[in-house]
Amino acid sequence: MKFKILNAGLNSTIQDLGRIQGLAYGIPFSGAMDKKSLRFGNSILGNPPTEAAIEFCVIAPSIEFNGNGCIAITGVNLTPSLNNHLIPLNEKITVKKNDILRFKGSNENGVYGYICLKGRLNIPLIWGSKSTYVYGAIGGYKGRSLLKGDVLEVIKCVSILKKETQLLIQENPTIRILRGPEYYDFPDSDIEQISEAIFTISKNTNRMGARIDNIQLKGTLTGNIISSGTMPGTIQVPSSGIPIVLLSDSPCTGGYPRIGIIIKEDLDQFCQIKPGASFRFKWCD
Amino acid sequence: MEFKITPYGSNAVLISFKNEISAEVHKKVRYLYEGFRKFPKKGIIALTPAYNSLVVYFEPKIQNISGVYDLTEIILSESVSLQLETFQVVLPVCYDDIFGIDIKFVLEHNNLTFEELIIKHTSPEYLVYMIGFVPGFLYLGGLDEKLHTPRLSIPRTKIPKGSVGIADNQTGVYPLETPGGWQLIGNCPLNLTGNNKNAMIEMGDIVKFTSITKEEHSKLLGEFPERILMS
Repeated sequence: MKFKILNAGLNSTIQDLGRIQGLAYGIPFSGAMDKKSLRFGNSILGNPPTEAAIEFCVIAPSIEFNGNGCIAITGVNLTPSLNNHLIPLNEKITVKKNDILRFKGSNENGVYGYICLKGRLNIPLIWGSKSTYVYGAIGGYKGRSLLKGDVLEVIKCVSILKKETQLLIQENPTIRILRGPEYYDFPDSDIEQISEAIFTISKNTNRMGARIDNIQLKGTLTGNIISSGTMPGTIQVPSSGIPIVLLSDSPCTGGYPRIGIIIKEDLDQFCQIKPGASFRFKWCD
Repeated sequence: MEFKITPYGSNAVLISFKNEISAEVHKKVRYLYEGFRKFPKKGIIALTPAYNSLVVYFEPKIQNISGVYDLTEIILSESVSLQLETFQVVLPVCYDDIFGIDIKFVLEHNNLTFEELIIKHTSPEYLVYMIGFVPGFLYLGGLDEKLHTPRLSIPRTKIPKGSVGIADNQTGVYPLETPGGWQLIGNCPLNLTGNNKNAMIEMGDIVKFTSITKEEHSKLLGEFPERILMS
């Protein structure tokens, strides 16, 4: 089944679970910001959990289908409709030729959503992944965000059975963190402050990283380290004392001390926090 | 202890050596990196080598931190007898002032002529210590002291793809259009960004710059670099 992008939305990209083969060459992980919602969408359709989908951010695309197939929408609820009839999230939806998917938008919690399509997206694997890394023009559909008029195709494949659970997007979530490699270089007051205060996500946040507002740490003595490997979820503290959380498209090496790292299980929830909304960190073992 | 191993997230560890940037430490990282690449079946799924450290990602069902520790010890003890191959990559650079917009400043700062700058920049064999920041960005060691030049006080918001620059004791190529504060002395026409898996420069490679004309630059645009086995 082919489908056409009628309106691109905001930063709509093809994403799967990301790539790990290029880390030694500076090629970042990329991949879905909320992998749990992507996996869940795939499981509803009988796709393998690794299959790619369309990720959208705050404003969703409009799509016209040029054949018969099935879709599932997961992640943030932006009130999807098919031919102007509201359709539910987190369910298998049948689409027919000329059907049009649109989103009304909403003020609900959450940032990222996924349009999963039954079958395999006809997108080449680059370094083992279909994910788009827009900044480096690598992967996805022509290495870029989707644009009005793009025509993509999904190819039928055998269904598999794999149970996945839905991510419940929370208001003011508590995000669990583990000690980072430079944890012991930070003063005790920083370690306490990071788990005691309520923070908000800065507007200055994207697929590369999230800045945290209303926090000022003392930081380590030097404020930098010899450049070293990093991964999404890492909380870096530059000499400004304002932490940055590295996300999917962050560089895979960095020169700032790493105080902590968000546990894998909570990174999806963290990525769904809206700029301006609040959350807490909690140290865990 | 020669190395330190620290958990980093739930399925990775950071192995770090002496806290310095040196060819000696680099060699240890490279031995370990090459050693781990040979153990793909032991649950090691990805590696990020850097100046003095290596992040090792593993499959938690198959591997754990003490397993990685043991592998590290084995690899490092066997590395004495391991001969690593060295590859050389020649990167053509057009030093014309349409690209090298800061050449004048670099020449004045170091009291050099244009010809001296080209000789000093194209003579060394630069060691690729690591690759990071953006795809294909090489951290090179070996810049001639007479070319050391401070960064711009205000970084530029956009630097063209392929720009060759100097920042303090570092030199390198910007593989993508990015913001940056380096003093620009030329442009490399080759594609270094990672769309061709078989043409990737590796950490441990030797890079040489060679001076080309504007005409040669436009002929080579978008070509991939070639790695040549030296030993």
